[in-house]
Amino acid sequence: MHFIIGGAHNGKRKWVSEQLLKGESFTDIHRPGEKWTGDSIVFTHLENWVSDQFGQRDSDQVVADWKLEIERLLEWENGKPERRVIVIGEDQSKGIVPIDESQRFTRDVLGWCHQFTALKAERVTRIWYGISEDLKTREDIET
Amino acid sequence: MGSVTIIIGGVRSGKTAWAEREAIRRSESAGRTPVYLASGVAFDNEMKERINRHQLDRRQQDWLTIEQPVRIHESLKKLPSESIVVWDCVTTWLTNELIAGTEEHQILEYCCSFIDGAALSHDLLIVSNEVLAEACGPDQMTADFRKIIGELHQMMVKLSHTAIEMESGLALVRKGAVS
Repeated sequence: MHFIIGGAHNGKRKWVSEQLLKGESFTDIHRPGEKWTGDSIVFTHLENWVSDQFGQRDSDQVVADWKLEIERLLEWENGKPERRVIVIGEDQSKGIVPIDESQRFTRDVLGWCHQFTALKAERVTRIWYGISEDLKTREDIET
Repeated sequence: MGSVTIIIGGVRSGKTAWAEREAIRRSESAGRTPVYLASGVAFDNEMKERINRHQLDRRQQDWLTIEQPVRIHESLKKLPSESIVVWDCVTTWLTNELIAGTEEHQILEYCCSFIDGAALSHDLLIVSNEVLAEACGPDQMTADFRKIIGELHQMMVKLSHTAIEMESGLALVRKGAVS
């Protein structure tokens, strides 16, 4: 699993499609439990799903659901060597505490989800306006 | 042949100071007067104070100041040949363009033609604010602003020879090199 992190409108998706997958087709998924076909999946807009959970369930439950989703994605990816899972995360963590409660909820939950995703990913890449920087690679894990 | 450097950082990260120091260093070795390309408009007291502060900071050195709040590409006509220019800053310019009702594609075109034109003969240092590291509020104008500033930053990083992320006065070189 490869986790891509960066601010909004920084060209994360463009980097994934042009630099990482180099035009290879992939399926976009946006919600835990969503079904797909094909060997490459890109999970995007996690922040929308998290935001939708506000008022429905408490934050711990939402994070627990995301952890289960990561396990599901990893299990699928490990099933065949050609399978590939990419998760894109929008960093919302560096501003003033939002006045709106639902935004605080999303920001907190998203941060926890990103931490877990980075922990489980074998590669973590930060995108800054189209420029990539590997924060974690397989070599880091093995050494 | 000129060069383009983009410096992006949070508020009070020292991005303007870094760009000014760099411009002065280059000006001294080239024996030229650096140019300050200002996009801020003093529409209220707070903005006047911010502009004053930046002007005081520049007092130690001779600067040629050119004010260009909108249509940044038109400043090309006003620049002396082979200038060393600090453009401060992209976010205030974008705000001015949005208030003037300029369309997104035009904004991107203005900026692109300015950078392409400047890169032919000038040494350009562009200063911009990091504003995309938090969640987007419900306001539509803010959402539009975020989208366009993101497009502009991606374009400027692509067109630049050197791209710098400024953190607490530390220049992190993300593209190219600083001599």
